[in-house]
Amino acid sequence: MDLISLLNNTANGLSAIQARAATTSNNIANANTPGYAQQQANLAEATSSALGGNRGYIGGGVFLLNVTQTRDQFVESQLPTAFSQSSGSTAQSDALASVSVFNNGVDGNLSDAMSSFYSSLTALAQNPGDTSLRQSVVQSANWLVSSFNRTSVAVEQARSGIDASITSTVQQVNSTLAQVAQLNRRISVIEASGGQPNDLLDQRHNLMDQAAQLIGATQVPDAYGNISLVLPGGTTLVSSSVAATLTVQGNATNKGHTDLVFTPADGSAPFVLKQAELGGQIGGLLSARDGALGTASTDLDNLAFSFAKTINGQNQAGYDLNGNRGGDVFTVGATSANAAATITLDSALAGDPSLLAAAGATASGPGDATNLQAMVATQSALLSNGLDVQKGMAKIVSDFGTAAADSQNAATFQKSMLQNLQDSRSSVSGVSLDDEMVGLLQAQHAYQALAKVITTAGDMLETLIQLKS
Amino acid sequence: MRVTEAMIYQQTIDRANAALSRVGKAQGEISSGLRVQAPGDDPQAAGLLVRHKFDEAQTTAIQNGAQSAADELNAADSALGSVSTVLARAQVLATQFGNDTYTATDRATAANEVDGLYKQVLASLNTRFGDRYIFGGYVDHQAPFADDGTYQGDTGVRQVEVAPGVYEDASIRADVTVKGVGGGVDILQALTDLAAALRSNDADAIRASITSMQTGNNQVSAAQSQAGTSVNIFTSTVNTCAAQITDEKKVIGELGDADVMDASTRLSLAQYALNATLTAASQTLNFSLVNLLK
Repeated sequence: MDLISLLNNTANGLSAIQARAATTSNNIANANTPGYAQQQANLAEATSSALGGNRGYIGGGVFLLNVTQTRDQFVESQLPTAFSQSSGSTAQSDALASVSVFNNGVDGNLSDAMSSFYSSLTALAQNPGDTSLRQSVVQSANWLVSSFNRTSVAVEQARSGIDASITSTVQQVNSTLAQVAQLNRRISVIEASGGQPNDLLDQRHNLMDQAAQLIGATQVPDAYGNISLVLPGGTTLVSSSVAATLTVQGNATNKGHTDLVFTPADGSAPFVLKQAELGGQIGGLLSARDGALGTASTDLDNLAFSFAKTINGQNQAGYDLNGNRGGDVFTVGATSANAAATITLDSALAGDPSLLAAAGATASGPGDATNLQAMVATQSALLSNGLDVQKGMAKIVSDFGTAAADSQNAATFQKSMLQNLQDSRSSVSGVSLDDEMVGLLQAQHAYQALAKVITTAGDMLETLIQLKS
Repeated sequence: MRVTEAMIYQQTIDRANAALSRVGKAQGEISSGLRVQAPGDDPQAAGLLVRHKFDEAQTTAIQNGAQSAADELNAADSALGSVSTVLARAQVLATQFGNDTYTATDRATAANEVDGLYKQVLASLNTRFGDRYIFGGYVDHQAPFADDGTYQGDTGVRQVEVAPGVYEDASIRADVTVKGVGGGVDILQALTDLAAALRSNDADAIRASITSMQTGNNQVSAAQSQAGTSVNIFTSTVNTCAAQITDEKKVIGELGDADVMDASTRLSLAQYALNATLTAASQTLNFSLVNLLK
């Protein structure tokens, strides 16, 4: 080996050390970049030069082999499901927690209005001819009606709010899917030529995390560097460089709330995705909207309809203050659909409380409360849901509470699981500034040592040059 | 496990958020006084709260109705007491002026007093409680007795709830008590007859009315006894309802109200945890090679 080769080896070493320092610098710069995985500059020993006469080999220095990411595939494979479940249960829990209409202590809630209505009937039964007590029944019935309306509207507003969230989330999903498809194409091209597109891989990982959070997409890698994204129900969202699109449309059979429509990239017919096929934030939102809130909405409608029919039937069995057959107390549609939102107090009764049929016989005096007593007794009568009014209302509240508590518990549990996995990911792929500082010092010292070699080699060359002169 | 700065930052955020969440919950319980604010806080308790509040409202309504019924029956008892007093006086007059020593003039004067007694009875029987006549049965919007003693009410007996689905009579059948339907004496007619007998100076007829007055008084006493029994039942109902309401309030409180001491303790613990989390984070994040190499 001559001195020039020595200088060349040293120069290669400096270059490799510079690459390591540059990688360290990149790691430090991206320490807080979402999706970034710590990179490692891998150095390799250069091929040795054989010395003549079987005297062995002189090392060829060092060179930069490649720059790779540090990722643990065991952890990475678990993260999409964890992201999906955590964001799904959190979205569901947050959506249900935002509904306060069933809260204890909310003045004028439905159960207060219902008990007030029956209390006013009980009071009137003591003196059915009393005009002010009749007016009190009409007022409490009016309160009950508006309470049904308000409760139903509050539940439906919460469901509509979820529709709006789903609509905006779908736009994010489409954007994410398109970017993943585009990155699949770019990554496969670079990897086919032997490259290692770490920045693109990071971007794709970040987007895949987002897709898991937004819609519960899981990853299926292929042999060409592509990653397909698949819904929990098996529907493929992204296949190599092609992404499907999602849209929303109103569903008339679900009070106009939005359905999620999947449009395949191959041009085949779009179809509606069911809630069970979805995960992540959208799956959680749909679960809240059509699960606990949908059940509460339907139960409210059934309660309002069945209650109104029962009271109307009893009022029609009696006679009003004028000796005429009673009419309707409440106005509801032919079916229970939207009954809670549309129930009203009969307009004739609202204007004339004497139409309340308290008497059991047409010729009775105004003090006859026999039919009113039967009306009071309807609070214990079983409605269409097999429960009386009181238990029916309690069931709506406790069912909703159970769903809210379950989703909150699930959200807490899933968040904890996700945090553990994210800690594991961060432990492997995250950037430790201490590590990087040590690496930087190591590179600095190596660089200084190599520079010393250059100085020494230069001095040796200078010595040789001076010998000749 | 290799620990990175990002992990420490994230864990600090997560733990601080968790502690803040506990602070918020404890603070909410203390400020609202409610342990169960949203149904999700305790679904079973939330459902039971609905039922117990409903029960409390219904029990209060029954209590109010029973109290009104008791008051009304007391008014009826008082009116009947006046009638009884009048009948006793009429009986005294009949006994006194049935004696043959009295002249026609004396008896005519007594007849005038009986006329006054008749009006007193009529006024008592047309007593109103609030704006309703209490002796007309279901016909409570007009005076049950006309000036000539005709009964304008009906045979209905008003009933008031003393327990869910259980009713107790809350009015007196004046047709039986006053008009003698079912074999008794028509009190008003007996007074009219007595006055007529006194005016006509018919000693035999005057003496005959003594029995009528006694029978009438017995009828009134029987009605008062019946009213008293009902008043006792309604009073008992009021007291029972008061105890039930107290029990319901206690259950509602146990189910839904916050334990302020417990919530305050949890608030302190959560504040301590939050403070400790932030302190630990600030110290840990300062402990870095970056700082040492400055």
